[in-house]
Amino acid sequence: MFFKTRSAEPAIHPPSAPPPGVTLISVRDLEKVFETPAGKMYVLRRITFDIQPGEFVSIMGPSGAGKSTLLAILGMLDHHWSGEFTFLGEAVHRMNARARVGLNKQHIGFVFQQYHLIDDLTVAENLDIPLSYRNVKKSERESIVADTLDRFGMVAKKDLFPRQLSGGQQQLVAVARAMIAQPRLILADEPTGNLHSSQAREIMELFTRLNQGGTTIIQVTHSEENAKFGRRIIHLKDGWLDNQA
Amino acid sequence: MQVFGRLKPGIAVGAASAELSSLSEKIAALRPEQQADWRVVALDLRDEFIDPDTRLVIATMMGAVTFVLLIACANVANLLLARATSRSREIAIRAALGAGRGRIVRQLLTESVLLALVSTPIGIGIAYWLLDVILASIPAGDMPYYFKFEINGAVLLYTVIVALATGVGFGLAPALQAARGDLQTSLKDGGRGSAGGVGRQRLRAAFATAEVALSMVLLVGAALFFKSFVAAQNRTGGIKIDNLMTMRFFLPGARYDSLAVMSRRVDEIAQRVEALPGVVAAAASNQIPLSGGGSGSLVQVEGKPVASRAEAPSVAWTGATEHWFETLGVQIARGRALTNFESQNRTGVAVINETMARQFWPDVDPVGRRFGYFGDTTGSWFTVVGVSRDFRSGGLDDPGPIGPAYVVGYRYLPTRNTALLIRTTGEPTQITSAVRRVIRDADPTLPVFQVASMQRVRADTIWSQRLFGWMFSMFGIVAVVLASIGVYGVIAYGVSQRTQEIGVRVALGAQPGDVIRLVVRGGAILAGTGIVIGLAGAFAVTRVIQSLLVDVSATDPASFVSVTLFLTAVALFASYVPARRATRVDPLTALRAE
Repeated sequence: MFFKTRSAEPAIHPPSAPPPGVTLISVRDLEKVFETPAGKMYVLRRITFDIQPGEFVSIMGPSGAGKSTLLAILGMLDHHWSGEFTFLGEAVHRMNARARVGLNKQHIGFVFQQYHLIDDLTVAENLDIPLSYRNVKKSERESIVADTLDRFGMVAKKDLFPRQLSGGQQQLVAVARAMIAQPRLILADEPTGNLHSSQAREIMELFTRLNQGGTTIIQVTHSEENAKFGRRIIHLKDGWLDNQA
Repeated sequence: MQVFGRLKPGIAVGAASAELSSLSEKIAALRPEQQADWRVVALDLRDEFIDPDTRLVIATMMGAVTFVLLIACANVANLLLARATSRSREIAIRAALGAGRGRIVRQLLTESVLLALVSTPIGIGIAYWLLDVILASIPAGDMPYYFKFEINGAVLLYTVIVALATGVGFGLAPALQAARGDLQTSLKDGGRGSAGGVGRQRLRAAFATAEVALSMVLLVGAALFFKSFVAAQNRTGGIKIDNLMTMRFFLPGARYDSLAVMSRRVDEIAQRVEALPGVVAAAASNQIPLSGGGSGSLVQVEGKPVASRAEAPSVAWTGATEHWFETLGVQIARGRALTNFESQNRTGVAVINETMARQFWPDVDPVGRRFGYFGDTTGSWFTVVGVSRDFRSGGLDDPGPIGPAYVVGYRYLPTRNTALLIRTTGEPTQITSAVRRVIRDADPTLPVFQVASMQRVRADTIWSQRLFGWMFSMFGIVAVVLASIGVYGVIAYGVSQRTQEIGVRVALGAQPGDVIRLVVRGGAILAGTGIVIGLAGAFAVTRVIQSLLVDVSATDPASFVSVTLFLTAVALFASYVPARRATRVDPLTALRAE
């Protein structure tokens, strides 16, 4: 265990439930292409799938299959694609970049393979970042950060800098940071890629608890073992949807 | 009284002064009533020639140049730091292959010194070109003849020494920083520069902060000089500057030993000049206002005895021919001016200025009152017949108020070196030939010199204000450009180093405005710190130049506030440019870095 959590419960504020019957993500004929001197290079081709609220989905495939690109599109960080993408009933493909960023802020949290904590900020300050971008009042932010530190068992580490933490501890802070704004969806890009197996397991168990609490999780992973924590696996190969298990 | 003498070889000025002082005390002891307070002081002619203000101006210029040099050096040091960061992997490999810290520092220092030496000839070339620009920008005769701007051997040697010193001085910090890097991290990072990153970032920020601080001092100095120049430019000294011609002529030889002869000749010339077509009025005197002259004496007011010489007030006085006030365009506020007869004879009447009236007769009308020389036992008094508006005898760059003064008939103070002032109906310089003819006709042996319109006389009195205001402004502009490049460089480099962080922040919900605030805040902190330090520095430094300023306080709030606002705006803009670029960071960069 990286930090002592207060209880074995997921103990994370569950996101508010979406309206009944609304699909969280619906993708139809999604394509991503690069223009190169040699011609068009397709990264994603005719991708079609749905993800319901509360699912835990793993995206797998060999390197270059388009996994991370798909994750970036789902996270509304990549705006250069074609096809239809609906998020909680809203047509993302018709939105401008600003509206997409707004949707991202409202509903999505990210976890990266290399944690990407801000080196110059303490654990508590790192947790504060997503809240500060959502115009939460300072006093409220302090309260939420304190609550999150407590729930994730990181109170003793709140003033430490990322470099003073182990890889597993850093990824736990990154997960807490992704969760702090209570997103409906967490997108995790190989979240255990830099961790050894026991640390990886703990992170995956944490994801499981968050998912049980109602948060939808989509992870990109190479690990069959980690993929098993999810309830569904989307396989990609050369940009095509290979199969869905 | 001034006496010039050449000292024997080996005799110091101080020793001569001590000996003269001892002699003067003995003489004073012989005539205690007249000479009790007399002193003799020997001064080096150079000290007399280059007065303390001129020395201060030269020192201030050197200080300003040094500041600009330091700012430029700070920029170069920042570039060297950035370069050292990008070379951290190379340096780590060298260290891994056995290069000691001293060797690495030596290698980097060699490079920085080489950089300084290679750029020296380029700088000297630019200096030659700029020198021509400066000289071309100074109107002919606008600067005293003893001022020379030139690049000579001493200047070149000084430049090379400074280049070497700055090469070593400002190359040392980056070199030490680079040599201190963590070998393992540098090799692992592939030269991305995290080794020693915090230290280098702080050092870069410190250099940029110093640049802003130094610019602040220079800009405040420039603003004060500029304001001072404008104030001096607007001064007239109380006289009508336009259509006024001035010149001097000299009454040589034994035939002018007699004061009466001297006075008659001068009066004759003044009257004949006044009769020339195009001349409104002309007057002779022992002074040309704004450029000095005249005399001073200790006085006492009738009915107000003064106990000792030390308590007697000193008043400037001038002997002038009849139309002195009319020629200068100075109004008589009360009473009247001197008549022709009074001007040509020792008639015991005077026209005082308003300051003297205010100081000596604060509650009564001074017209009809009497004053005399302090210690005069002959019963001679001057009766005040009029009060003129104040006007300035000394230069317009004189920061002090106009003092008490009075004017008496020329006959009281005829001098061989006589000033002639002519008020004309048109362009004053056009009367010069005719006036020269009049003087030649009166006596062909009288040399005419120092011929200048009053506009020129006024310009001459503020030449230093204009020149140094201009030069300081140039230094200020160069400093601001360099400092803004410095701030831009540090912030832009910081953005390039934080690309991934910015991408992560965007992924976490940061909007373009958040990113701009993040980056600009860094610049604002840096500039703010520099400005606060600079303000303190400017407060300290500008006090030194107070004596050079005209009608402007060394702590002039408007100058300080405007420079602060200007520099803040420049620094924020310099930060905003990289901030805008930071908003274009693709958040996918963060993901791709996996």
